[in-house]
Amino acid sequence: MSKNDIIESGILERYILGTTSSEENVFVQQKCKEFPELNLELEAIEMALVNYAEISSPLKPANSNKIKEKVFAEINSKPNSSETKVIPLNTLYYRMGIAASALLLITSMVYNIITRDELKTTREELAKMQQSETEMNDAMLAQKNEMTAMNEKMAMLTDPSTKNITLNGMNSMADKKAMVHFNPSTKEVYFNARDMQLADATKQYQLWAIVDGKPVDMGMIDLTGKDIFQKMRTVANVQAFAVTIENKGGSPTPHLETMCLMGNV
Amino acid sequence: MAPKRTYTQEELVELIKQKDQDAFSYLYTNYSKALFGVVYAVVPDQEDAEDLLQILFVKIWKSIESYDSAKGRLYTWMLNMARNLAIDHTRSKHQRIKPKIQSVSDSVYELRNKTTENNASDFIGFNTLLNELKSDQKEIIDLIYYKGFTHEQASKELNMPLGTIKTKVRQAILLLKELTKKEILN
Repeated sequence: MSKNDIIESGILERYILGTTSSEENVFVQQKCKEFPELNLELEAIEMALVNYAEISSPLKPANSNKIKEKVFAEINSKPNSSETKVIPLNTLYYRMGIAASALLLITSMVYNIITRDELKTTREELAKMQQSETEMNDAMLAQKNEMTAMNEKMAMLTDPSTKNITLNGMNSMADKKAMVHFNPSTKEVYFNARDMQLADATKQYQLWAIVDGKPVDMGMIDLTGKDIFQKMRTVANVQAFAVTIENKGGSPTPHLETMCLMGNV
Repeated sequence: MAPKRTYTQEELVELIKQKDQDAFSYLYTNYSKALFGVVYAVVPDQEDAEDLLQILFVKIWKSIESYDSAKGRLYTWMLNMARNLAIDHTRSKHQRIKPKIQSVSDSVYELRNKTTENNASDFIGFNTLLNELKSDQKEIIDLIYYKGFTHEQASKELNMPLGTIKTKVRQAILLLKELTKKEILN
């Protein structure tokens, strides 16, 4: 179809009048690309129709200006309605704010939990350290006490006035010996169990002092302790020391038949 | 008054889509009178038609984004909107929209006196036009242009063969083109 055929067909007029089908619209636009002069033809038709409508339009310039003002007032008061368009943006920021706050809160909570756990751990560690410190202090104190006791023993043993008395074994314990260290001036008595043993757990050795021919209870001998030097009760005017085997906890009076060690001062 | 184009149609559409009010002002200046003519042809009441013109331009501003140049020229898009707005208005007023060519023609003739006080060049054009445009050509043009009739519908409405309608439309528009050219030269 030639350019002139298109113009003659009247389709361009109908295109401007808006009575062409969508297929015809596509056709017109294709042809306009093919023959750019058709665009000029379209513009001429449009201008003719605009002109025609203007001629039959009873719109006074003053009224036209008033309407124009109203139109512009309306589209410019649209910021009100476009504010409603802005609100979603605000809402967006608002939502972002909430999200950020929530994130911050969660982060804070997580941090708190971690910190609380850390604090708990730290407290536990501190408690452990405090406990071990107490234990160490206790151990130190025990060692100190031990040292004091040792020094006491050393002082007592090296004291020139201290008497070292050998207790000799009797009967079944004939091969055994024990020692008693006795200071008459301080009246202190130490028992040295050496290699003494006792198989029967229900029995215990008991030390006696013989004062003016009578036995005086000097206390039970503890073989479970590491220290073989054992501080016993004090005594004065003692002639001899003897050991008997008694029931556990001891006896107020010695059973002479169980006497196993004896030594004179 | 013929639009003095300082914008191409593409520029105008693009700028208004970008909410350029100067471009929109230009659009109003160049097309409001013609579009008022279209509205008034369907709603021949000065106040109602003026209200509709205001509504029309606000609508153009708001819905310019939906304008697709692939579906036709900007003026055709606005023309359709004006026609539909005016026809909807007559329907909402429970007015019979049965196209009465006579009434359209009448209103056009009625305008003669009104338009004279508006614009001298328009008056000259108008006079020349009325003299040169045969009344049956006017009838057909008004029916198709203002009421959106297709050639086929106009053929039925006026009880004229389709070929005759086509010829008369072409003749009428050729004449209008000639007059427009003359007017521009003036």
